[in-house]
Formats: sequence, C-alpha cells, structure tokens
Amino acid sequence: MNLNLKLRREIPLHIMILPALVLIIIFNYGPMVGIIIAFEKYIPTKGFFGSKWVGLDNFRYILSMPDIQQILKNTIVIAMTKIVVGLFIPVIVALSLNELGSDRTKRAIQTSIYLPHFLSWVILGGILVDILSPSSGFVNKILGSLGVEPIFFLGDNDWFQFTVIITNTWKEFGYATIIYLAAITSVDPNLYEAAIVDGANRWRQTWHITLPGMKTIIILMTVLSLGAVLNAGFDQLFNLYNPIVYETGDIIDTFVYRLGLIDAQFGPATAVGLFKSLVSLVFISVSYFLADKLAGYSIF
Amino acid sequence: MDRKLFLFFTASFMLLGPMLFASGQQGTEESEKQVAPGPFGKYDTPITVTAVKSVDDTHKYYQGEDLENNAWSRAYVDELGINLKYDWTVNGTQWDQKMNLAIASGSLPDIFPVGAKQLAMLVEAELIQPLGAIYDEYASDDLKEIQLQQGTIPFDAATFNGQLMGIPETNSFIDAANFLWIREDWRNALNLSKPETMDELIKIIYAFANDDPDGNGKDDTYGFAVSNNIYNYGYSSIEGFCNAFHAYPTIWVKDSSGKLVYGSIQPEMKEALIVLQKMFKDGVIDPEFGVKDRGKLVEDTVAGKYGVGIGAQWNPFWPYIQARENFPNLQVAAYEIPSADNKPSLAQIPSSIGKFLVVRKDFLYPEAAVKLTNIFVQHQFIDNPLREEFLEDSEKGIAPHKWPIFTTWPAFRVLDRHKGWMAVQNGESSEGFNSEQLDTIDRMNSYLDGTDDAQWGEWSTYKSDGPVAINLKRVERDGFMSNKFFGAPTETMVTKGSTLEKMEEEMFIRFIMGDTEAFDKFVADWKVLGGDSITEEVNLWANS
Repeated sequence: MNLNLKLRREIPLHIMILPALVLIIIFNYGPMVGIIIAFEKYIPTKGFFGSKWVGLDNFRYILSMPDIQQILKNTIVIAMTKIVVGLFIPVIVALSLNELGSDRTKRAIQTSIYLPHFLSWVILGGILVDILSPSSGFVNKILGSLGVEPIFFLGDNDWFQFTVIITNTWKEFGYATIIYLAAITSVDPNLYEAAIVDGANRWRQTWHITLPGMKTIIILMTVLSLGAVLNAGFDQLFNLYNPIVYETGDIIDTFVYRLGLIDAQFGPATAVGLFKSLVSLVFISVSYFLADKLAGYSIF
Repeated sequence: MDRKLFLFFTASFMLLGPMLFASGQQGTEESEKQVAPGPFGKYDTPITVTAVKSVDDTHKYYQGEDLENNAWSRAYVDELGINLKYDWTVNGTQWDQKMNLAIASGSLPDIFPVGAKQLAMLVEAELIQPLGAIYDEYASDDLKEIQLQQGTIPFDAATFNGQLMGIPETNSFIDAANFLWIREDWRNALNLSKPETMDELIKIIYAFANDDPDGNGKDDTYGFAVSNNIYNYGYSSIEGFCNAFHAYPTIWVKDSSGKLVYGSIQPEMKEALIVLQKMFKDGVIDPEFGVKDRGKLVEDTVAGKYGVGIGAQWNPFWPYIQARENFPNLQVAAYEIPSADNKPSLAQIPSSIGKFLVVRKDFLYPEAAVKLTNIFVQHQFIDNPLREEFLEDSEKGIAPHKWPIFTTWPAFRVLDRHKGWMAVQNGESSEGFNSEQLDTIDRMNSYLDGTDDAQWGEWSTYKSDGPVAINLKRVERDGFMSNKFFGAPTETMVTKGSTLEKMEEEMFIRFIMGDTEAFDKFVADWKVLGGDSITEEVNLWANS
C-alpha cells in the first residue's frame, strides 16, 4: 500500500490515543522526578533540590528496620499465592460457565460473582469481622455443624494469610472470569463444528479448541499480574489486619503507610516504593520476554 | 505524519505546560506599616489579612451570612480594623494534607492555625516568625490569664530555641482524664455494691459477664469493654485501668531518681496486664477483642453487651445515649477508678496542645494574630453580659464559637458548669453565672422535669455525682498524672516512633491473650530498637 495513504488513514487513530498519552505523561512520567526523594533526607519545604543528598542511606535504614524480613516474606507469600489462585480459578469458572446451557443462569451467575468486585474493603472489612467471628459468625456456625472446632480466621496467625487470599479471590475472580468468557466467545464456531464432525466430545473440544483459543488472553493476564508480585493489597490488609496478626499480615504497603503518612519520613518511604517498582519492572520484562518466546505473544 | 504528530505534541505541551509548572504566588507587601497600639487598638485604614481554616458540616450560619461575613468577622473589622480573607477552607479530614501541600509549595497565608508536627516543620523551614515579644506587648490581661491557667506547658510546646513561634490553643487538660463507667441499671438488678476497691470492681465485671445482668435469660454479655485500640482515652481503652496499678502507659513520668521514663515499660504495667490476662482467660473480656476496634466496641455497647468500660467524661453522649435508644431504662454512673492497693490512684492526662496560631515570616502585622485572639476571649468569656450575637442558638443549631479564625479555652469551664448546677441545688442564686452555666442548668432541668429526654447526656455528665464532680475532687486532691514530656517530637521519636507503637500494641494484646513472655520481650526490644535513645533525648529536653 502507498505509505502516504496508510498514514493518512491512521492519523485519526493517533489522535484518538493522544489524550491517553498526555495523561500518562502528566500523571505517570511527570511524578517520576520524585524518585529523587529516595536518595535524599527530604524536607518538603526545601524541595527536591534543596534537600540533603544522602545516597543510599534510606535503603540502608530500611534494611536495618527490625521487621523488614518478616514484611518481605509476608508480601511475597500473599502476593504470589494471590496471583496463582487468581489465574486458575477464573479460567476454570469461565470454562464451566461456558458449558452451561441456559443463557439466563449464566448471566445470573456471572453477575452475582462479579458483584463483590464493587464493594470496597472498608465495607467488607466490617462485614468479614462479623461473618468470620468464631463465636457468632455464620461461617463458623456452618463449620460447627460439621463438627469442626471454631476457627479464628482473622485473629490466628496460622489462618490469617489463608483468609486474606480466599476473601480476595472471592472478591475479584468475577472480574477476570468475565474477561475469559469474552475470550471464549471470540473463538470461531466453525472450529467446534469441525471438531464435532471429527467425533470430539465436550472435554476434547475444551482441551483442543477453547483453551488454545484463550491462550493469548491467559498469557496477557499472567504477564500483567506478575507486575503485582510485591503488591499484596494495601486496602485489604489495612482493613483486615489487627495487632494479633501483624506477624503474618504486615506487608510492604502497610509499612510504607506508617513510614510515609504517619511519620512523614518521605525519604525512606519513597525508597521502599522505588524498590518495589524495580522488582515489578524486572518481573514484567522477564515474563513478557518469556511470553514472546514460549507463546509467540507480543504487544508491539 | 511525523511533523503533524510533532505539532500535536508541541501544541498540547504549550497548553498544559503552564499547568504543570505553575507555582503558588506570594502576596506582596507595600506601603507604610500602620500602628495600632494596645491589645484592642484599631487600624485606621482596615488591613487585609489572609488566612485558612478547617470547616465542616457543623459550621452553620444565619441566613445570608458565611465564614467571611458573620458576627465575629464584623467584630474583627469594626473593632480592630482587620479584614480577614480566607484563601481556602477545607474539611477537617483533609486539613493535614492540604496544609502540608501549602507548606511544601510555599503559598502560605498571613495568619493560620497549624498542628504540632506542622509547627515543627514550619520552624525548621524558617517560614514563620517568632511571636514572643509581640505576645507580651499585645496580649490582653484576660488572654494571658486564661492561657496560663495550667502553667506554662502550652507555651513550652510552642517554644523553639527559646523563641515563641505560635500562640497555643489552650484547652482543659483534665478533661481528657478517664473514668470507670458502670451501667447502674445492671448493677442494681444484680444487687451489687458500688466499686470502692479493685476487688469489688472485678466482682462486678465477673457478675456482668456471668449472671445475666440484662435478665434476658441468655449468656450474651461481656464483663469489661476492651478494644484493640487499647490506648484511645475515649472509650474501651485501658489507660485508666492501668492507672489503678500506678502504671501510666504511653506517657513520660518521673522515676524515683527524677529521671523521665516511659510509662509503658515500668513493672507496674505488667501487674495491670496480668489482671487483664486473667479476665481474658476467664472469658469476661471478649475472646475476639483483638480484631475489634473502638467503633465495634461502641456498636456492641449500643447493643447492650457491655456494662463496664473505661472512658472519657463525655461517654454519656457517646456511646451510652445511643444505647439508651435500645434500652430506655439504661442509666450509667461514673466512678473514680479504684486503686489496686491502698495508695490512691492518679488519672493520667496527655497534656498536649493540638493547635497553634502562626504568622508567615514576612507578614507586616504579626500583632494582628494576638489581637484576633484577644477579641475572641473578650467576647466569648469576659463581656458582662455576653453579647447576644456570640451566644449559641441551640434551637437553630448555630454555634458562633466555630466562626473565629482561632479560639482558646479556659481550663475549668466544664468544672464551672458543674459548679453552677451545684450552687443552684444548694439554693444559691444564679446571678453572675456565665451563659454556659445557665445553659447547662436549663438543659438539666428539662431532663429532670421530663420535658426533654434528649438532655439525659447533659444530666449524666454534670450531676452531683457525675464524672465532672469526680474530676473536681481530683483537682482538689491533685489526683492527676500528666505527661512530663511536652516538647516537639524528638528525632528518634520521628524515625522509630510508629514501629515502637505498633510493637507495643501487638505485644500487649498478645500478653492479654495469654502470651506470658510478651511483656518482658517487649521491654527488652523497645530499649534496643530505639527506646533507649528516645529516653536519652527526652531527658536531654527535660534538662535543657
């Protein structure tokens, strides 16, 4: 095709992307100047350029904090488990929903599992304390009728991380399920017809047609979620944890909150944030590279 | 296409650039400074002073009036020649954020109120001017008298390197003291005597948990209200309980050698925690208290699960008046927290100042800050009779004392309300009473004669054996333990404070829940992880 013609056709598309680009430059790239805070003894009134340069002191200070190992461990365990569980459950649910005959039931289930996504953790925090209570909570009543001793889900270090992961999955899996359902609908129906002619049963169809058809989206979701490897979920933990489970529930973000917002130690708080971003960058790059190599998936 | 795209980017940057790099502009001062001598001297040509203020939904005005046009703003202009303009106002919850931003960007108003941390920031950044000489010269005698009622602590908190950097908003320190609150309807139902000793109190706690005090035939009550906000001074906190054992958590006290020590790590603290631990083991403290914050405890109290709690003098207004909607026969009474031994207990009070009025560095009329405070004191407390336009209109829910730029309060107004009521009960005349005293008497009478049950809170607070009466006795016997450290947060407090606080909460809650080693481990860790250097800094401050 004539290069000029192609360009002319694409100009409106570029214009459409422009507002998004401008916003990203203003709100994502602009504030990156603030990274400099991580290397300063930052005092707001003296600004980025007036504050004292301390090199890596903030990082050393963070590493000398007594809880830092615990916090890193909690963060990685909670975040990794969330990523893995958050990938498998929605795929399984989407496949099962796809097998449901009635459109109406499908819609109803889809909506009801999507619903918790819209509740904030502030509200859920209050509700969960009640329904997970060992003495009066509805969950423990059910367990009790099955002969299980009451479990203190939010106040027992053995159970807390489990509770965090389960409640998060319950809240968020509906969202991912919808994305996978959309991917399923985009699979070419001719392929199924061909498979039926070849004598493939439902299981074989799922395995050989539906899943491969979803592959790209699954990989994309994995790549995106790997960036969150140090994001254990501030909203959730902050609203669910309590002094009894600090040992298993204190994560990087709650730590940064205490450092930056309560103590106004902007330098160390930014240092932790920068560290988090670097780790995420490495993970995203590696997984993107792998996705390209293994599945031939690439964005550009 | 590249050229066109490039043009697009350039154009958008030219549009957005000014937004990105704009910064706050500073007001400029011009002309000769006017002189207006004395506390109430008026500027002949009114001067314009910029300010900022935190406001919320409870700030109500008469029709057609607002923050810049009301009885107080008119007093400022008419009597002082000061025209107050607000650069911005913001809801209390966003105040810190907005103020920090203003400090960071250097767009400060002329005169403004700030908190203790912000005061320290402003001093460090040299953005405000010293007020000592100006305060001495311009403060009215009444202002000085009111602000010194509790000694020089308020001024010490605002003094940096020997210079007074802000006018403190004094408040009554003793109003923060805690009381033992007991549901009297339950106590009477179970025929229990008033708690005179710790043993009797513990007996009541156990009876409330086990003997069905609400008579509904169900085992659905707990003995002692404790939340996981173990230190909050308001409700369901444990400071008051520890005071019974002569332990003073979270504040700095003098040890036998006169050195300042941290109350939470003293051996007395462990004794108090051991008693709480036993209550937890026996199930009279909610087994789930570790996941319940103060808000949850209030809900439970409103639902009638608690009859004993430690809290502030305003507990009748929250949570008990809400509980009373569910239980119309509910009555509560405040008691002195009984001592665990034969030495009377002292109630701990934090003794801190939350707000200071400061003046921007180059502002030409720093005395205006003092004059504005003078006039508040004059019209709020001194005028006799008080002028109508400054009085609270409870029918319309309008409280003019919320309108001034800055307020300051005498130490004993709550006590005075109670004294007024007592005087009238003893057949004395109410002549010469201030408006607050008369208001309280009205409200209490309207509860007693049954015309307004909503005044139950007022009655429970100010009655002859209410919490204020107990505080009055504490004043007479010197029954308070105040925080002996009231300077700006020290360096290690700033860097390690929140870690240590978090550790303290975690370990003490664990101890109550049965981990017997948690206390000693906390004390040892606290010292190593920064506590020792904080102690050093605090003593350095005390000796300077």
